[in-house]
Amino acid sequence: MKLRSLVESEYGRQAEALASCSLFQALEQGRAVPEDYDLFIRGICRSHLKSPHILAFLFALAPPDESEKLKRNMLEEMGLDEVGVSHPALLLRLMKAAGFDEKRRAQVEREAAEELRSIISQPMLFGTLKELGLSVLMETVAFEWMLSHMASRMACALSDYRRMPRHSLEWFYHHSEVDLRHREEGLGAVAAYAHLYEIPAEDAATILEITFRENVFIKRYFGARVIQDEGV
Amino acid sequence: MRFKSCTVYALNIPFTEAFAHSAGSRAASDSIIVKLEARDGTVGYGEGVARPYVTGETVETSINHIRKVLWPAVSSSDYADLVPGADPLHALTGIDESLPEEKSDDVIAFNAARSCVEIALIDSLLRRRKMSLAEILPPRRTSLTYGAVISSGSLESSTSRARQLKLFGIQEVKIKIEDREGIARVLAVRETLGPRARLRVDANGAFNKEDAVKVAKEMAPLDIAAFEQPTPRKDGCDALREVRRQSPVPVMADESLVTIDDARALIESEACDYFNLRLSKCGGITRTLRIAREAVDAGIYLQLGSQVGETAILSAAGRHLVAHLERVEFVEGSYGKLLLAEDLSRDPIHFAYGGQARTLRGAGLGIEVREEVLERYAVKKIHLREDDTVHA
Repeated sequence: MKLRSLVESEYGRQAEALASCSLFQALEQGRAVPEDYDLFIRGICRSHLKSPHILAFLFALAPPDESEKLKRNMLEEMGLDEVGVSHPALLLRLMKAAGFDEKRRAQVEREAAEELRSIISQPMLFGTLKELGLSVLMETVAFEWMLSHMASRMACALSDYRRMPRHSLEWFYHHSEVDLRHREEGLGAVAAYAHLYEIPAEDAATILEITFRENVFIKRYFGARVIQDEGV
Repeated sequence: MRFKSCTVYALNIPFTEAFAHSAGSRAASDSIIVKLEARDGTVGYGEGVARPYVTGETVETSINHIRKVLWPAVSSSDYADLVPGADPLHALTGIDESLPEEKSDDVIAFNAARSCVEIALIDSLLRRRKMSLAEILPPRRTSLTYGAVISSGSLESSTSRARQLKLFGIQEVKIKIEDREGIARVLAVRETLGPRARLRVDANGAFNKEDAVKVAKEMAPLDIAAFEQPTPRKDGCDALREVRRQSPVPVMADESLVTIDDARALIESEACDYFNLRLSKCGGITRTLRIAREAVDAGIYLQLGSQVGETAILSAAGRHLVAHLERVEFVEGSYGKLLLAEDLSRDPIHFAYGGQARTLRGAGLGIEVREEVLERYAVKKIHLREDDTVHA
């Protein structure tokens, strides 16, 4: 199977598992308690507040033909494109609208920074940056792919059952629209990256397997405990 | 140094993938963590992993042993500072001797429980003086090469795992086998990793001595560096010795090696070429070191093994010990988030590409335990105070 198809199938499997996980279903169907909606908001913010940093890392490793798209994507996240809306600012707006006080917002920001620190402090399992870069790229594109399919559903759940005002949900609307383009570009970038760095198909497939040995969406949004409880 | 409280945590940290061998299968870590707090506020951590098929302990019996036997002894003791010296055993023996022995018909030794408490004591005493365990156990090397383990499973899953390990540059691999069909998996791993990889096989006592010899002979062309615990502990040293006598593959003792008496019996009967030392199995740092000394004197080579699902606490203690020991051929453990969904240390200490890992230099064991992760994955927590009142 071609790498692109292999990657997209894995994304599909991971997104499906998220959609069918009982916590997500409870959020979508209005069966969750307000604290669960807040935990989800916290998970979203913790996972994405540092996205510009990750994109900057990927930009540094990007194949020349893909680097412009990655740069645009990174500038978009930072609010330095023509739209001028910083994504971390949208996430802070989301937390404020959910009633997170300054202390709680600062806590989520610390958690996001700590996650980034942990990633950077990991002893390197791959022999070179090219394998690590492919793994990070695969995971980053996975989120764009999943959000392009599910961000609107997330926004609806928060709007309908957590009574979040529309303007506070812009991060989700933005991702449901913009990530349609990112989704295609991202899949192309994964294939181009593997090609540029001459990563053998078998190694690329193994990196995919390693990167997605757990459900990355459920782990980042709800925590590892939920993966165990759900038997994902 | 006097201790005012002991908190015992029974953990359940999910694995990123299930792990299986002939004696069982598990999908989560069930480590026991002990946190000791001294009267001056110094905190230290220790870890043990209860395995009924190894020491006879369960999580419950280990916790009870800590509560009823070990903690009362710790809370009534006043510990002297650890002083670096020419002989680490001299520095550590006082701690080991402060922990009483108790016999039980069902338990070979309460070694997992001892490991929890002994390591926590050592960590605390060192932290108070801002000393590293490396000052007590001076390292002979600054970096180590860890190997990895392929659990029992299908041919496909073993091959897939071998491909991952190849990508990680791992050259030391142990394959768990449960029966003679396992040899096909060993062959698949050899083909995937190539001739340079050093492969070992671990049967966890799955064979009788006749079958073990047959398996060893069939595997020999695959260039196997060691055959770990081919026969069960209950078959005694004689079975291991018989396999060793006829096997073209060197034999390693694991489940047969729990106590110092086991070590002496194995040496006396010339039953094996290697000892697999594991801190939790052998009762902590001091006792493991003592067994290692006897092995080295007898010309036996060592493997520093690990517990499946151990956290950074046990991995850090193991790293200090193995960096100090002589005649170490193989090193296991330090899988961290390669196996655990989350590990306890703030900075990950799992091995890097090629299985490489540096020695640890920070105070105590050299890691910073994240209390919030400990709390998150605790399925049971018992707080013991100086008056030994139990607050569950």
